[in-house]
Amino acid sequence: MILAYAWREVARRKTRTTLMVMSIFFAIALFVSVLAVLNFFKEAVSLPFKTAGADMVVETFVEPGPWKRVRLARHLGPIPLSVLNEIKGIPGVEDVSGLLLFWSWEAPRMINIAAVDPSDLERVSPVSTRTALGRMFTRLELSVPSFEGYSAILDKRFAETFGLKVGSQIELAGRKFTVIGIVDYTNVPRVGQAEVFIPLNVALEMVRESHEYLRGKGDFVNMILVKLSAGADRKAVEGKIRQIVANATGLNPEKQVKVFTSESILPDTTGVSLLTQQMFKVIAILMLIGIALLVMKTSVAAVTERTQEIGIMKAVGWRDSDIAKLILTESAIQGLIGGILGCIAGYAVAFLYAATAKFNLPHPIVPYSCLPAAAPPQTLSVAMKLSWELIILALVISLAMSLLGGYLAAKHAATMRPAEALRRL
Amino acid sequence: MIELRQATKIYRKGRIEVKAVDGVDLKIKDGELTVIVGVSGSGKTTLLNLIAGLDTPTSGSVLVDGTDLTKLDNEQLTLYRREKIGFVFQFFYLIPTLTVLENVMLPLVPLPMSAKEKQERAMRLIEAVGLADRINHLPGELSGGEQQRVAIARALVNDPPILLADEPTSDLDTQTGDQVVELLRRFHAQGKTLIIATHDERLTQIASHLVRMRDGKIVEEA
Repeated sequence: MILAYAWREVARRKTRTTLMVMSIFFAIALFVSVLAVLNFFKEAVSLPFKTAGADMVVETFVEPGPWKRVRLARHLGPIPLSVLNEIKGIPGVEDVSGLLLFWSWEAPRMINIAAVDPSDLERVSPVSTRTALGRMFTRLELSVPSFEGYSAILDKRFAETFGLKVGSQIELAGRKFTVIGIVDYTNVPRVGQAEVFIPLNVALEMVRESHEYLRGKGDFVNMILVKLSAGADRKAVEGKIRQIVANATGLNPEKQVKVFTSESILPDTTGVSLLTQQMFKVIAILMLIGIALLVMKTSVAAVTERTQEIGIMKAVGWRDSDIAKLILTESAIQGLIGGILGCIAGYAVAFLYAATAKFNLPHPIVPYSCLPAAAPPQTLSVAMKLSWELIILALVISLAMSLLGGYLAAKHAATMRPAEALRRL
Repeated sequence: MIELRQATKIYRKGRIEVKAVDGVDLKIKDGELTVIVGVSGSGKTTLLNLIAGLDTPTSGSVLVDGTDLTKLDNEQLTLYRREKIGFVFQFFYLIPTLTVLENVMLPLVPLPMSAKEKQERAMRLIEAVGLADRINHLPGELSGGEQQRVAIARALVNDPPILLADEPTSDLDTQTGDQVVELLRRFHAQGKTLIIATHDERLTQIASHLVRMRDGKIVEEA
């Protein structure tokens, strides 16, 4: 009955209700939109890592080798394969996988090739174990590449561009490869992606043939994907990785060893610095606090305005607890309406932003040549997802704001003596 | 039985003290129709407020059926008002945003009974005061006499044994005032204790117990 009465009161007192609801609405809309967009940023930049099952990408930055038919991608320098085992031994590292990214000039285009390390292929790799067509490499193919001839897996866009199918043959740097599978990464940018995937052993043969300086180096990769275990100390792991790679390559651990995470690429990718993101959060929280104070003041003022009504209620037998229940119910209704509308508006703004936002992954994450056969999906077009945690948090905050105001108002109402309240009329 | 023993109520406004009720001794038997007369400021309303438990005496005591109201806390006083008192205020004190039906139902809202039962009880009283066709009207859409009748229905909706009416005929024309008094007498005839505070000397004629007040004191009782 009190709920019905409170609902009628909220509906009748339009000015007061509108003021309360709008205050909460604006605060929650801002809060939700800021957090939803920031979450969207995080989700968007973490996607290229998630799809490869990695948390970190490790590279070295060196002067590129001479232009030959085959060359290592961009500025990526060779890292001895033995480093992978050392990194695997770091506490907090769950899995490690190495890639050799290189380009092969097949006039008039540069083919972007990723050679995959046979170890951990099923866990951390730019190439999914689930192919759209055909099959994945077998362990035998990866360890003895020429066992049944050379095998390659193609990216779907590349295969479509050149009309290649499973069973087709493709020539890369003078070697013929049979297409055994096609993976579909259309619109799914991922770290270490390429147009063609081949086993590491044959890739090493190919790059060594073209570059004398790479011949005496033993087996190597030029991109390492690292998966961390839950609760790992990222900073500590990153520091150790830098040191291990620097020791193995003789490069400067800070300047020439690059460790990318979704957090580190976020500012470059989204164009919003971490400081700005923090400021947005602070502004949203300050706005919440400001509105909470306004709601409290408005609630107490509303009770003062209702002195007559409260005096009459007390005179006809309403207990302080009944009046408190009524005020709190009214506050909760207003808080919920403001909160729900705020969530809707906040997410509407966030969805609108997400629909128009275009983020470009930094080149070191997708080290394609400038003349790719099929352009990589480098633009992150991620669908905004509703976060029920954020919605529940926003509703809890809106309820807390309105109930705090209601609580103060109820306390104020409890101090009113019925005869005094009636005499004040 | 209502009994006031040396009941005194002092209001303080800064340094000025006003004795609204000054050492009043009064007994009102169950079922009596008591009329308290006196000019404005004589202490009638304060006396009703003390009996209704809306106010507490500065000194002395107010006993209703043997219960000393001065010993009750806020919660107990509220329950006392809910169970025993129906109060018709001088200025009606209807809530302007509520309809006639909702105003009459107001005392029932916090009670543990079904919405249907509450509505039926309110409707019975609204019909008894002759406003069945105005249930969805707001107080601002009613005449003074109609508002007073709504206030009477609200005072009686809890079926209290004691009905207090403060200046029920003031601000009403003679004919409407008479109708309101007749209504109050009708409910009194059902066995309720009725106490009317008024400056209208005509109402002394209906009293079975007359109390005359001046400057907070009882100057005549008959």
